[in-house]
Order: sequence, then C-alpha cells, then structure tokens
Amino acid sequence: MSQSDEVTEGVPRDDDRDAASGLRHRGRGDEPDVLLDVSELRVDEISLEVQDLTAHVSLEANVLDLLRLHVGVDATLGGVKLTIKGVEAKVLLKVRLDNVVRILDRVFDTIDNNPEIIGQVTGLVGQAAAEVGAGPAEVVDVVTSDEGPAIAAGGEPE
Amino acid sequence: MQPDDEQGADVEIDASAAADELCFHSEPEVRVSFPGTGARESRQITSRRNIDTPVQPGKRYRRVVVTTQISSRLLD
Repeated sequence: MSQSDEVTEGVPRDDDRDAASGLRHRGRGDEPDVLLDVSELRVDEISLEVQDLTAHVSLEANVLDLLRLHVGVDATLGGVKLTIKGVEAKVLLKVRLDNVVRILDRVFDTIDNNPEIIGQVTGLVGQAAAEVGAGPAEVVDVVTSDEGPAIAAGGEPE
Repeated sequence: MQPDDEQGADVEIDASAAADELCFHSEPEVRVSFPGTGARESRQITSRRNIDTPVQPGKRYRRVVVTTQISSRLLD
C-alpha cells in the first residue's frame, strides 16, 4: 500500500473547486461496470455529528476450491462533529470487472488444459462433505454376516 | 505481473468536498482498510487545500477543498 498526501496552502480558484468535484477523468475504456454516483450534493450550512459511518466496496469471485478472489476498500469515519457552510460534495463508488474476468479466463484455460484438476477438486469437496456429515454425531456402521456375529465397525463383535 | 497504471482499479472510492467555511468541533477519526485475499495493489491519494493535517478542532477554515481517491486492484 502506498499513501501520499498533498497539502497545499493558498486560496483555491474556481477551477480548483470544479476539479475537486470532478476528480481525475480517465479514458472511455476505463468506465466502471458498477457505479454509484452521488454528484450533486450541495448544502448551504450543516452541523453534523457522525459516529461509525463506513463506505464499503468489495468484489468477490470463487471458482470451486480452485480460486478465491476478494478485493475491497473500506473507509470509515469513526466519529466527527463539524459545521460546514457552502459545501459541495461528490462521492463515486466504482467496481470494474475486466481484471477479474481476465484472471477467471486464465483459470478456465488452465482447467481446459488440465481437466483432471476438476476431479481432484470435487474429490476434496466430497471428502469435506463426508467429514461435515460425520460432524459431532456418532456414526456406527453395522456389518452383518450369516456366518458369524454382527460386527460394529471399529468396535467389538456383538 | 506488475500493475498497469493505464487500467483502473477493481474497486474504488472517489470523494471530494469543497466548502466556503469549515469548523471541526472534534478531531475526526478516519480509518481506511483494504480487505481481501491475494496480491493486491492498494492506495489512497488525498489532496487538501487550506486545511491543516491533522485538523485543529475549533479552528475555522475557509475555502477548503479536499479530495481523496481510495482504490485496490488484484495483481496476477
């Protein structure tokens, strides 16, 4: 993670204000797949007290047990009390899927070229399911035979 | 693979605020985190005009502009 703060003193020009509400523009190919745009927020004066306000943006993608992708951003305002006059604010929440799609595409290419992977993964899933099924309950298999006493699996002859 | 600056982040929060006058009555508690799995490139870029870092409670700031861009991207 890198973090850089730019602190500039001086009176902002009007175009600074415009720039602040527009942030940095990217090319058309960079348009997000999911966009929450709160771009017209203007308040003459407001006194505000906030506790634990969180903005959370997260993207998750799973392919069986082969791949688990999770990337997110959390911004939390734990607590603040302030008074603002003549405020203009803008918030954009963006999610782009092209990078994840590209990673998934490579995973599927790998599966295409090595289909035995699926068998290994589903085998593990089946094993995990059996273990879950066993759970805290006691499971006893009883095997009977015409030639002898019934046998409790793992136990003594009845 | 190195991150490509030409490509956008997978998830991003852009926020900006401009105010004629601003006064904090208490110091704000701001936390930024990047939950996730695997290799990622995460960053926060903040620009402030006419406001102290950290802010001084009770001080009246005028013609304030603050922008922040918080983003994260999965790496291959």
